[in-house]
Amino acid sequence: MNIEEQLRLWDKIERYVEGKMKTEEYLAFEKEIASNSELAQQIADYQALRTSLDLLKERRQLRAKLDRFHAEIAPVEQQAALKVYKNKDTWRTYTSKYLPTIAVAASVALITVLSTLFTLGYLKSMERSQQSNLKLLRRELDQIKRDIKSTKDTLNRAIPRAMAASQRFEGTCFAISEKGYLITSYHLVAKADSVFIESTTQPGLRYKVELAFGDERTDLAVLKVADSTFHEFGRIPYTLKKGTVDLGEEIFTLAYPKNDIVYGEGSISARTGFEGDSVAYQISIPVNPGNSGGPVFDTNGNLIGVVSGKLSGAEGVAFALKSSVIWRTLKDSVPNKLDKMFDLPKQSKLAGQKRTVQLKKIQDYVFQVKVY
Amino acid sequence: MKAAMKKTALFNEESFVKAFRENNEAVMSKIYKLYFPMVLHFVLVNSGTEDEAKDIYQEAFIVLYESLQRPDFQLRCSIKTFLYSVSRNHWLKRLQAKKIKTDLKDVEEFIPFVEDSVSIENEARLATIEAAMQRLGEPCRTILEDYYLNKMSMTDIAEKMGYTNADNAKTQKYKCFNRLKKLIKELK
Repeated sequence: MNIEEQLRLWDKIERYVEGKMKTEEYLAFEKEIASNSELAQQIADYQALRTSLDLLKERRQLRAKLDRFHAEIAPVEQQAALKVYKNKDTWRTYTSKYLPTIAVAASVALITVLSTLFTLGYLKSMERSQQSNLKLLRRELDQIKRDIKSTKDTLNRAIPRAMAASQRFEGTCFAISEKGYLITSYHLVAKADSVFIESTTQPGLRYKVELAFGDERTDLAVLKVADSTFHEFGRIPYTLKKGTVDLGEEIFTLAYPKNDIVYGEGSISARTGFEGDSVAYQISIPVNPGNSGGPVFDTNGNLIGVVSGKLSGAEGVAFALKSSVIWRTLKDSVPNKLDKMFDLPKQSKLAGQKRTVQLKKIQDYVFQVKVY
Repeated sequence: MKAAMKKTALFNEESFVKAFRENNEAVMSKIYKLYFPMVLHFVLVNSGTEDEAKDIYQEAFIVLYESLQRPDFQLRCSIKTFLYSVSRNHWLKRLQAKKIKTDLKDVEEFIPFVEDSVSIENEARLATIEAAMQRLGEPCRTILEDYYLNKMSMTDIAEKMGYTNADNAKTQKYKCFNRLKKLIKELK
């Protein structure tokens, strides 16, 4: 085909795609396409490029529109709004910094008031006249005022010390290797000074742990026990499911939303998480903040995910990072350490057993995370 | 009183979503201006500039706009949280690309956010065609932009670019189209 013919054919394709052909020509061309696979391929190529060009067109128009919006922002208003955000920030740091102190001051004041009331009750029992009681009350109130003031002064001086050892978060984690590796949510431990794990099913157990791997995108973190008293966890009973789980499959969790291990059950309600996020499942299990990092199991005791978060304002909508994503992330990010980090059995020891039996076997491998 | 206020807020949020779907520019412009300072503040306290904040915010706004164009899409949080979460995510990616390691200082609540495969594919496509157009050179870029993006007629293009007639311009357009196709193949 010489260049003229090529040009004519290409022009035909363009008119066909743009819908500019007359019915007769259109039908004839359709017939030709159906019998000529090379032509069909050429049209597909043309359309692919047109799709890209159309995307570009829409994107540029949208950008131009946004630039127009942006040009309308008055600098004065922007400065004012920015100031509001800055102030809000300062207030937030202030409250998070001084909240423990304020709490201590408040409880001291409460104790003072209660002990004063107790004294008052005692005096009353001595059957003094009502008037003198009133006077006493006033005196006691003055005393309370003085007490609170002096407590406040002392506490103000003590602020830096009082702040030092405040616990920031609690959450859940679970073992994935006998050698002391555990999985939890990255957001729990991301900015931690120190992290400990505890268990209410094994009283007295408390290990210091370190971050061995963290990935903000998937919210996955691997912890490693860093404690001289630690030897091994023992054989872990559950396996990790490398594939995905079907919609509606029954699931259960074990976690520490309070200072005790709590069981929850529900089902997979969507194969995608927040806004179609394909690395997570949507699950219908009531979760609280302390559930973050908790394991999600299917009925056979296969680990199928990690609780990552919930939707504020919607009940029964929580998200769990898929076990397949955990596996892929670890395999891609830490291929050398994978053997050490991860040694769950190939066969679940929990399949076909009663839930109570399963829970008894699992509970010693789920821990409370305390972040300081 | 409180309940009534909540209802108005909810109503507003719903009407905002509707405005996006109907391309209501007045409302969109209002929302754009309302939340820009939030992202500006976030980027500024996380070692960015005002220009970068504008860029990031517009990217997030585009994600919001395009998501809302999809009929099956359901916004499950406030527009504010959505814009903040996407901006945060994009800014994190940029910092990672620049190999800057910082702990993000958050100024709002956010939801872990990963974009869906459709928009990731679209963004990749856009990046390729944008790069190819940049490399194309003149007069090809102007001809293709005028025809495919600005929808000018071939007669107008011929006149603008100084071709004797529309057919000559068409031949040139054909050559340019092929060159663009080749560039894209190289870029992939």
